[in-house]
Amino acid sequence: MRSGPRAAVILRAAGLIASVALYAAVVSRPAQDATTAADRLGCVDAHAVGVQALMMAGLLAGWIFGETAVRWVTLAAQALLPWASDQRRRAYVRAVAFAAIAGGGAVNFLWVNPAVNLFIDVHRPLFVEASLLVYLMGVAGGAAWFLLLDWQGWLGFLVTPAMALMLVSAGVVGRGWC
Amino acid sequence: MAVLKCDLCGRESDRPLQAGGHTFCCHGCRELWGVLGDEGMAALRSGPEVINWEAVWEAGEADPGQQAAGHEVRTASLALSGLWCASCAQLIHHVVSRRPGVLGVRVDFAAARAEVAYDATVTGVAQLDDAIARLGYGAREGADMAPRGSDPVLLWRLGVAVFLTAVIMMFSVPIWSGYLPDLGPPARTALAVSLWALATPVVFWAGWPFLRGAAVSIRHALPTMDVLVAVGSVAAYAYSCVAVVTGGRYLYFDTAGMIVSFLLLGRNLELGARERVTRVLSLLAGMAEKSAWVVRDGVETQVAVAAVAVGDEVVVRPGQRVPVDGVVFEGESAVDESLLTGEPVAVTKAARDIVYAGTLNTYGRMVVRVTRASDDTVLGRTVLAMREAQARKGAWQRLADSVLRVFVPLVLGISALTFAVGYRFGHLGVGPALLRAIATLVIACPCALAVTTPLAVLAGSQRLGRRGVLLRRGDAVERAATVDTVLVDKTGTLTRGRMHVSDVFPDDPALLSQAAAVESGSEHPIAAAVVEAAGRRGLAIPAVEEFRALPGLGAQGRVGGRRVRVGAAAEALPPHLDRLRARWEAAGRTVLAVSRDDEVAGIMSVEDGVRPEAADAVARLAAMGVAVEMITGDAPGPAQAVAEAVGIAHWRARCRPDEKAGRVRALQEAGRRVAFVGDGVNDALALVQADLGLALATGADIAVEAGQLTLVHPDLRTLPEVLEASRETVATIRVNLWWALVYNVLALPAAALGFASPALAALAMVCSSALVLGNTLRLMGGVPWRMIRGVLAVVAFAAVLGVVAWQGV
Repeated sequence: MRSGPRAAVILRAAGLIASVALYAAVVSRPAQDATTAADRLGCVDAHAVGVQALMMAGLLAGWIFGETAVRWVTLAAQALLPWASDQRRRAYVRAVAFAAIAGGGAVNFLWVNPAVNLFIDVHRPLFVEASLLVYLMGVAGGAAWFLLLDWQGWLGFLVTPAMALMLVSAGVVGRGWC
Repeated sequence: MAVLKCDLCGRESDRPLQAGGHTFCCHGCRELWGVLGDEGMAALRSGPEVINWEAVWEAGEADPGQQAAGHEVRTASLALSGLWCASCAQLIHHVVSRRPGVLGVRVDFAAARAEVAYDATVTGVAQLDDAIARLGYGAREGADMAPRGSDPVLLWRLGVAVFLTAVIMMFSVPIWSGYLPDLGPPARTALAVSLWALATPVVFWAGWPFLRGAAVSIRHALPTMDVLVAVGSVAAYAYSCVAVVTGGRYLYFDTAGMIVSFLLLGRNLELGARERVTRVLSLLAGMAEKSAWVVRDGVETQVAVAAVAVGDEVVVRPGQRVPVDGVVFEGESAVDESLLTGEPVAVTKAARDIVYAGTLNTYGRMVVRVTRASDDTVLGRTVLAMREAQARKGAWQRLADSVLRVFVPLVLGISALTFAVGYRFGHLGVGPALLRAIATLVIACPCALAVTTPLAVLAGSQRLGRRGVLLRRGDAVERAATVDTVLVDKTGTLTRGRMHVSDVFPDDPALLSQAAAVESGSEHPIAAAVVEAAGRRGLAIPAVEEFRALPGLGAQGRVGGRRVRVGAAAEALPPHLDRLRARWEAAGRTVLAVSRDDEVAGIMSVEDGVRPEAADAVARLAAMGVAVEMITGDAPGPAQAVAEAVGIAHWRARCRPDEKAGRVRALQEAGRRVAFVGDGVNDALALVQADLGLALATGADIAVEAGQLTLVHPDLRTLPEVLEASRETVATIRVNLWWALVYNVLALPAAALGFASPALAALAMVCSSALVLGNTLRLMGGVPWRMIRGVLAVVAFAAVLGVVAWQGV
């Protein structure tokens, strides 16, 4: 009877470690040097891939802590919609989850500008803040996927990067890889 | 006399009203203009999809007198939606009453309903709905519209504002970090224009309620928070626009978005309060009959209740609710008066007995002579009193209004002074002086002031929720904090509300089993108690034949060949039983006599047990310095017994609902802050009249709706806990308000003297809000630690990620 919760804890810990490891790999010096070099040449795909990896790391963290996020979101919905039916509340929460996923995807347009990418690369505090923000957006996206699809929310790991990379590649067909 | 055209509806009027350079035909139009403003009015007149005045008026004036004669008169009860304020109701009344075929209209803003009497040969409900829809409101016959307490548009505004503001804040990182001037011109322009584009819908669409409110406020020279919010958000927005154009170092788009988002959050949290009154009034309205059968010249004619006059004779059929207050003139029946008395026992009514509107006639036909009709009935007066009580503002809302009445003009004055002094004496030039004045407005914008009360109330409500107390009104916590007197209903509140047999004499199992056999055929609560008592003693309940219920008197039947009758011990009893009856009645019990073959064989007493925790609750209230009084519709005997059992010294018996409310009012007039605790329909008026109404969730729906607080678990010990928690909550609100004021007192001069850099202003606002939030979270007792642990874990995790990124591991 106790193996269920213990397994869940182990799974979460493993997921969190994997998430942090992926994050650390993306923001590591070698990876950053390579990205900055590509940005100096005006090539955006290296930066876009890095951002997507950060987003994926966040998605993983958001997904494994999805149950907690759902509890918090439910509490917030009860506070904001005290008179609404549960069904109506769920509809609003789902709409917010869709918005979080769509909003997270839309921000990818930001990384199609090599000047912005380079500016972020060379200003360390800004780079740290941007990395954290992207990771946080990933966490929000992961929680949103969990909210929409429960444990089937892992599908978000396929949809989110595919959507983002399609957006990026559509915007920079001629200036992807150098 | 000059005949002028109304600037809003286009009607000609020989008694026009003037306001703001406009001419109006009526108060409703003038007030509607006051809400909508010039732009809104122009939109109304020009937008055929919203309103088409020509179509509304084309049919011309109705002539009620002509149309009523010989035509089919009907009434429609329409549920309305989209009402913004009372002038909307006026407008609907104004327009619908002039529709052809409409004989009379009554629009109730509080209940969001319209009652329309119309000639069905000329118009119909669909046309009425259509006319109202063309005014921009929703109308549907019968059922209520979607609850107004959860305004979906306002929620969308909040959602859009929060989402866009989050994006703005994310993009504002380079600005906060001071890197904006380091960006190349294209990137800088792209970033600034993006922020501008994102902030525009937040300020002008999401923030529209504040802009509109500010416009109305300024027009009526009544400063409200809307003015500061609107000026603050627009000023931050305008400052940033100028900075974008002139290449300024800092942009305040995130500040503008935060102001709007914060205040929309507060407004959404508070909106639910309006929903309650609609529900209560709908429930009460459902109990009022719409029509009555009046005897005129020996013929029964169905007429609208509004047309029934005092002195008329009204026929009340079985199963029908009594439409008016009156005296029974002919016939006999049992009437369920639980609406008024809370007692679930049908009362026998015969000639010369009084009956009340809304009570249910169970089986007989009665003719009632009307003594009070329409709104003058007890039910009608209850509804009116509830509307009046609901119209009052919460104490803290009044305080906030008072503060803002001074604060808003003060800030505006300081801002103007800052500009004048900076320009005239500081030689700053128009631009810098103007920016400093705008900074003063921005830094003074009362975000914390706006969120502090709803946030604290929310925290307080969560704390109460864990104790099984539900808030049904936003200002309930504020009301509870000041309570110094508690009035408690007896039946169902201090007592369990469940009858049980307490004594049987003689203690003969056969007597009880025979009585239970007869009572098993009845659904009366007392009968259920007798059957339950027999079952509890393990007695077999024999079969009953020739069962007959005697409404108001008891029941009888043949058990084992003997005729057994169980009922009120009204007849003469043998002396030893009579003495026992007197003693039991003095102890507050209801006494039943059991007769076999018309000879009294014994008596039994039935009573409603006092809640075991009631005495403890009363003692704790007394220890807190709260006076406790009991008030009940029951007889003095049971009232005294219960009062003594729980330790209440002051009590009143045989009180009607309006007398209960009257007692509450009397105490209030004596300067007391009164809480009323009840569970019955008969308590609804007192619950609303009281400064704080606490209803037991196990009670009647109307009582629950009428109370500001609902006790989910009928444990009266929650009562002192509610008062204690509320006092702490209000103390927190008070500290938060003081903080907001101190913050502004410090921040305003800093901004006026030019010391408020953008980073400092942003930091001050965030710190102010965080302090309010932290102080408020204390109210949640043990929960904050869990939340704080969670937040600390998230912050620590983010810090680790930040270090990892900084070091580039």
